[in-house]
Amino acid sequence: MNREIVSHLVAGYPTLEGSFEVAKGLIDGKGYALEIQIPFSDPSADGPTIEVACSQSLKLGFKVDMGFELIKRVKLYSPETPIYLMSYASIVFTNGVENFVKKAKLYGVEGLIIPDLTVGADEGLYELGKKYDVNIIPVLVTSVPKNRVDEILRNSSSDWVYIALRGGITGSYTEITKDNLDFLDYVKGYNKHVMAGFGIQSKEQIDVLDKHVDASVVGSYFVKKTKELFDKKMDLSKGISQVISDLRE
Amino acid sequence: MKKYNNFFGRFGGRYVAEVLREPLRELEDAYKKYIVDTDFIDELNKFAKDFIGRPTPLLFAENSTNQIGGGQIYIKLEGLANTGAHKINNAVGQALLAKRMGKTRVIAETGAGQHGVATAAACARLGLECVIYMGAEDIRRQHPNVYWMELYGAKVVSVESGSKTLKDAVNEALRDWSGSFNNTHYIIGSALGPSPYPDMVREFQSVIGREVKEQAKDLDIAVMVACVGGGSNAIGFFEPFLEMNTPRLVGVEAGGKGSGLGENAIRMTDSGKDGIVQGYKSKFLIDSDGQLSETHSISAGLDYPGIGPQLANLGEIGRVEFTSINDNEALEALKFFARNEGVIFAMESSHAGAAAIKIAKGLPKNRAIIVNMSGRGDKDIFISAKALDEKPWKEFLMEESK
Ligand SMILES: Cc1ncc(COP(=O)(O)O)c(C=O)c1O
Repeated sequence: MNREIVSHLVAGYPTLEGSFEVAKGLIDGKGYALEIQIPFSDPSADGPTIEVACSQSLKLGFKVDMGFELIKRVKLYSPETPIYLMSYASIVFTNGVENFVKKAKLYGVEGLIIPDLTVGADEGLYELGKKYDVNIIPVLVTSVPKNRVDEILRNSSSDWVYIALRGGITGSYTEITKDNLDFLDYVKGYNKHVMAGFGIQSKEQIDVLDKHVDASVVGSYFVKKTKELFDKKMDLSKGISQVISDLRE
Repeated sequence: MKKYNNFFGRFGGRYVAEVLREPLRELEDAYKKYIVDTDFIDELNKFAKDFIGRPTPLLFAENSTNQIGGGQIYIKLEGLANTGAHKINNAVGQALLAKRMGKTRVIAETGAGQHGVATAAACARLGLECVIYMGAEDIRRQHPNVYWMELYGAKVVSVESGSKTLKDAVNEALRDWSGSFNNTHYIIGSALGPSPYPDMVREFQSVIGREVKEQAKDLDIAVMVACVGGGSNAIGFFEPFLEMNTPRLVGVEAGGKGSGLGENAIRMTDSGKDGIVQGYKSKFLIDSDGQLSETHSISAGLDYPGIGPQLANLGEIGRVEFTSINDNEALEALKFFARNEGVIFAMESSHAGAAAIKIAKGLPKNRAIIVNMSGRGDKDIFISAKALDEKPWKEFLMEESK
């Protein structure tokens, strides 16, 4: 088993410098890729842990440009670690969709994950992803009908697909059911790399997922650990590196 | 006007995560089917008459008119509808639809609390489980409404995230819905959100405008005025007049306490920018990165950073004019109509009342101006009494709390 983990962090949380330390820790602990969330004031798909982290980051004055600077530093630290940038439609639209995609390319972002810009209601995002060679990673959920899965994957040039393992919000624990695994296998049939997550917080869950995905996504769990380490004034990068190593072991 | 539009110019649409696409498609199908179904419309009309108390009166504000000396002021008394505001028209419409769709649970968000109260009442009447999301700050400001919702059997959830106001309650309701849509319908309280909500809410609220058209058929209407939070009372009031060139239609936004970003909720004439937030494209108060700004208004119901997409479009093409009224002007209008006409406007509607006073002055005596009193002011007693009559009110509260 390869136990690849796409690890999620919130840019600017617990501080701007702290989020760079977290990124280092996730890379040192052998995270396969980083999903960096650009905070939005109203992250309606996120549960309390990530919601609070986003509003904390914004309260400290976080701006989108700081997110790109953070990505630049992370890329210098580890050029081979893929970076996926996650945010919401408002951020991408207000900054200009084309401008945003171009900038992502310039800063070495491998893919964009914007859950509320979907195929057919995407403000040109998917086409621009093709034009500038940036993966626009569709976010599916297991309740999406098969004909819609077809439609999305036909319109997507992305190597990767993100599958949320249930409806609702990030954070709370997810039971991985047979339906989940069947859906993962179905999507793998499209010759795509599959990352799956939502409520992943234990080795046991990752064990179950591992045969069906190319990577598991772990988000709120790391954000929660980040908060604990920060509150105890511990070394963020060492601490987080240990947390992810424990999960991958 | 078409009953289903999806986009209004460049505004509107359905910008939601994949998980919400199916429930919205299911809702769109049901809405399109039932809004032209005579059985459904009959049931809705029966509810309107027996439960809501429609038609609501159109009152000639004779004393005010004489005092101001311009056009004739008429007031559409939506506040006389059951639960005290226009919100009940939409809540009943959507709750009936939810029942037809086989849903057993309803969720809603509320700012001023009027939409929450209306939804809770409709659910009580129809035997639906009901959960209302309300920002902690609004719970503080509108406590009487929380009490009524609970009396109707609804569960009121205090939302502690963000600015703890309406926009945060919307996020929380969306979070709930994306995990619960199998048995749950989400009743959005204004003419906004992802399609089909803006179309659906307008249709359920258009009863206001249809009644006005009938009641005012002998009047020479120059202007119609309504306050605009998300814009549901305004769009329902304006609907039958939208495709005509007259009368002038005026939307009134909350001028709050000043012109700086965060001090008001003026989206159409000031700092509003195109954005995509909470599932729809419209004008929003957002910063240069797309983060929603804080807003301020003395009225919880106007204190929202977005506006319904159809009104945003109507503002741009010039069919609806926008103006704003500040907190103090709204309070003055509240007093004015209470003393002259014996009606107490909701704080939201007082904004429309204040604008109507200004506009009436410039009209000839033979022409009419109709102001929509979208709700009555009972719920605002803790705000209005404190602002207008602080000392005796505080003494009363001290005494009561002993
Ligand atoms: C009495 C009253 N009027 C107006 C509004 C504003 O909403 P809308 O603009 O959707 O009519 C509210 C909202 O809660 C309200 O309670």
